[in-house]
Amino acid sequence: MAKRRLCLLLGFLLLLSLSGCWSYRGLNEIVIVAGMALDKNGENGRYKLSFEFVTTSTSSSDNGGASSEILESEGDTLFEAVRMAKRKVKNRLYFGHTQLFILSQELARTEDIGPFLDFVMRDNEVRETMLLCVSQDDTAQDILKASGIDEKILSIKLQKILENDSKLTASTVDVAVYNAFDIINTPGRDLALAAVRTVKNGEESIPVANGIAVFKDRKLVGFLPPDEARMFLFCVGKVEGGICTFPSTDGGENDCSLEIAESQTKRSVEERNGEPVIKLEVNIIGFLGEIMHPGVVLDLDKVKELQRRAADELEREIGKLVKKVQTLYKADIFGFGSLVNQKSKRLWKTIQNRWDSMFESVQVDVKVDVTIANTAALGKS
Amino acid sequence: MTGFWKGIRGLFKKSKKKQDGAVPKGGAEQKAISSSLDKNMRMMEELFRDVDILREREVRNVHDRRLRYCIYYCDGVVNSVAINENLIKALMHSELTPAAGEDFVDTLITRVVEICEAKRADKVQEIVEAVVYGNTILFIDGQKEAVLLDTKAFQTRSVEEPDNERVLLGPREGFTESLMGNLSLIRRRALTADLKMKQLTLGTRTRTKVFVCYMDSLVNKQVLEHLMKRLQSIDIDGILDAHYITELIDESPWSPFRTIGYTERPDVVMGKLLEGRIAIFVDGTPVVLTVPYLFIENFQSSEDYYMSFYYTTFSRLLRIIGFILTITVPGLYISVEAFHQEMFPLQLFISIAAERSSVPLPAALEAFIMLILFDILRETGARMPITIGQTLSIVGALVVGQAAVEAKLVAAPMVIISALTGITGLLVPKLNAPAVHIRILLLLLSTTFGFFGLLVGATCMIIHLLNLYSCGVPYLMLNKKLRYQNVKDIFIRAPWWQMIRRPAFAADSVRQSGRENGRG
Repeated sequence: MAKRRLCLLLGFLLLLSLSGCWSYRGLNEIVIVAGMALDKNGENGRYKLSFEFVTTSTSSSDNGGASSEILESEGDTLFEAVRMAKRKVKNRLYFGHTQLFILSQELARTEDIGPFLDFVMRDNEVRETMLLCVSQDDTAQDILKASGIDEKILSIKLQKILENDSKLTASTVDVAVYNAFDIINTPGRDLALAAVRTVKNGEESIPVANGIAVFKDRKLVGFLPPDEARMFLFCVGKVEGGICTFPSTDGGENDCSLEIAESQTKRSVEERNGEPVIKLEVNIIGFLGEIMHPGVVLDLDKVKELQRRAADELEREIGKLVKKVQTLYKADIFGFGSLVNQKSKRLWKTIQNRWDSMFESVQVDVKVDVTIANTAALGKS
Repeated sequence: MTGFWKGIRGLFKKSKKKQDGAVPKGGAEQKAISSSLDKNMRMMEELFRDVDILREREVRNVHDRRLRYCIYYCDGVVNSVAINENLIKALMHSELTPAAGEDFVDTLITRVVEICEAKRADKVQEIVEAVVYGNTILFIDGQKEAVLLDTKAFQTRSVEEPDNERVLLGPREGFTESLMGNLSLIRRRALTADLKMKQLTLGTRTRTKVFVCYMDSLVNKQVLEHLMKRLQSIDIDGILDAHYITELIDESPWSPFRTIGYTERPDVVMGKLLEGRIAIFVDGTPVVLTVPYLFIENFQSSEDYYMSFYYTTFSRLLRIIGFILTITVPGLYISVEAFHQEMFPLQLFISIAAERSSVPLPAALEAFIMLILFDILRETGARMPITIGQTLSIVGALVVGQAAVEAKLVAAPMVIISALTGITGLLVPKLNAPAVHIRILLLLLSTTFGFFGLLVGATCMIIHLLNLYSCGVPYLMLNKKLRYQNVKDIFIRAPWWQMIRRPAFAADSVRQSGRENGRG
C-alpha cells in the first residue's frame, strides 16, 4: 500500500514537470514590446532592431496612461539583437503581444526575407499572427518614430490600419508572419506585403498604409499604389468592401461610385496547347453610392448600363494591373503558378521549370460581373 | 495525502479511547420505586438535592384522609393552571376510594385526572427524565407505580421567518427551538399516516430527543437503515445543535463539502420528504437535517419551486456559474497575469499592465491579501451588532477599495477580482465554507503552475466530489445518463407538470402518474 502511494506521489510530481519551462513573471516585471522594425546598420553590416515598447503610467490625466518609447539594439542575428536589447532596460522584453514587424525597404531589396521570419517562427513567445510590412521610408525605424494622433502606440495603430484597410477600403493587405512563411514556401507564388510610409499631417508625420510591396524570389522588387492594390485583391479574391469608381458615359470621367458589398472571385485554369490560361471571374454585388453626373435618370435600363460600365471599367483596370505585374515586376504575387498546381498537377509538372519565364506571357482572362443591388435613390415626394 | 489524514485521525482515536468509561451509568436510577409514599419522597429528595427548581406538593383527598398523594414538577416548564385545576383539584375532591382487588392507578388515570396524557411508570430513571422534561409526577401512597402527566409548557420563540433563508414568495414560517412545535409544522403539511416520526434519545448527559421523519412509502429502506445505524452508534455526552449530528454521522468527515443538508424552513423539509429524503429533528435547535444530500441541492432554493420556472432556471444557472467563478477567478487572474499574458486582449493587457506597473507587490501576494481582507470583513459583518454595520461597510469600502488602490498597495484590477470573488461566493451561501478553502488552494496552484496548476486543482476537486457519498447515495448522482428526464431539477428547474419523477434513490419514483397532467 505504501509503495502504491509512493508511486502515485511520484507520478503526480512527474506531472508537474509537464508544465514546461515557464515560471512566474508578473506584469510589472516585463517590458511589453508592441512592434519591431528591422534595419541594417550601413557602417558595420549588423542588423539593427528597433523595438517599440509600451510605457505605462497610472495617472488618469494621461488618458489610459499608455504611450511608447523606442529601444535600439544591434546584433549579427535577430535573436542576438533581441537578447542584447535587454541590457538597456531593467526588465526582460516580452513579445507575446507584439503586433507588427516592419522591414526596411533597403533590407528587403537586398536580402532574402526568409531568414527574418525564421526567428519569429521558432521562438515560443513571439506571435506568428504578428503582421508583416515593408517601410517605404528611408529606414523602418522612421515609421515607429512617427507620431500617432489617435493611438500613441504606433505598432498597434498600424496593425489596426492594416487590418481595417484591407477590409474596409481594400487598399492594402494584412499578411501575418505565418502567412508570409507559407507563401514563400509555396512553389509558384510570390509574396505581397503591406507597404507603409509616413505622411505629413500638419506639423507631424503620421504613418499610413500605402498599397502593396511586391516581392520576387523573396526579395522586394517594387510597390503597387493603393488603387492598384485593390485590383490585386480582386485577383486573389480578398475584397470585402471598398469603393470602385467608373464613368457613367462613354469616354467620360470616373463620376460614379460603386460601394462593394460582396465580391467573389472564381479562379480557374484552362489548358490551351499545353499552356495554361488563367480565368478570373469576379462577381460583385454592390450599391450605387454616388453619381456625380447631373441629370441621370435611374431606370432599369440605366442601372443595367451602369452595371455594364462598372464591369467594363473593372475588367480593364484588373487587366492593366495583371499586365503591369507580369511585365514590370515578373512576380507571381497572384499565385497563378500554385493555382495551376492545385487545379492540374499534370500540367504543373510539365511547366514547373519554365514557370518563371513563362509567367510574364501567360494569358489571363478577366471577366467581371457587377450587380447593383441598391441604388439608394430617394423617391420623388 | 490520505496517509497524512489517517495519521491525524489515528491521533484522535487514541485520545477518545482514554475518555471511555467516564460516562456515568446511573446505578441508582435503574431501580424501581417503592410502594411507600414516604420512601419515594425521601428518594426524590435525595436525587434532587440542590435542584431547587423541583417543586413538591402533598395532596390528601377531602373525603378520605387516607388517600395521600404527592406530586412533583419542575417550576417554569409546566402549565401550573393545568396542575391546579385538573390535577390537584381532581385528586382532592374525588369521591372514589380504592376497592379491594382494583387497580387504583388505572382508576385514577381513567376516572380522576383530567389531563390528556397520563402514563404509568415504575422505573426511577423514567420518572426523573419525565419530570425534568416538564411532566408532573404523581406518587400514590401504597402503589408501586407512579403516574407521569403531561403538563409541559416551555417558553419558546414564536414562529418567525428564518433570517438565513429569506424568500420573496412562498411560506414564511420557520422552525423554532421547540421540538414538538417543529414537528407540528411538518405534521400539518402532510395529513397522512404515511409520514413517520421515530424518536431517538442521543447524548449520554443531555438526553436530547431526536426525531427521524420520513414518508414510509417513498423512503429508500437501505438509506434509512444506513442512517439509523449511524445515529444509534453516536456516543457523545451532549447534543446542543443539529450540527453535532452532522459531523458525527458524516461519511466523509474530512471533506469540506457537506453531505448532510440543513434548513430552517418547514416547507423545504416537506419538499425533501416528498422526494424520499429523511429529516432529522433535534430538540433545542431550529435547524433540521435532511439526508441524502446531493451536491446540486447546494444550488437549489425553495423559492425555485414557487416562482416562474423561466426565472428560476436563470437564477439557478447564475448560482452554478457563481460557484465556478468564486473558486476560480483569483486563480484564473493570477495564471493569466503571471504565466499566460497572451490570453489578455491587447488593450486590456496594456491597461492592466499600467495599473500593475506602480504596485510593488507581486499579484499573487496581492490576491492573498485581498482575499483574506474580504474574509475578515465578511466575518466581522456576520458577528457584529447590526448598529455598527454602517461603519463597517464604509471602512471596508473605503479602506479596502479606494485607499489601498490610491496608496498603491494593490492594483485596481485586483480589487475588482476580489469583489467579484466575494460577491459570486454569496450567490451560493451553502457552499461558502468549501469555497473559501478551494479558492485559496487553486490560487496557490495557479501561482506556482499557472493554468496547468489550476486545471490539476479543479480536476482533483471533481475527483473528490465523485468520491463523496451521502448515506450511500453518490454525491454527484452521476450514475445516470445525461438526459432531459434526469436534469429536470439540476441545471434547470423544469415546470412542475414536467417533473413526473422523483430522484432515483426514492423507493417510489413516480411523482405524477398522469402524463404531465394531461399536457403531454
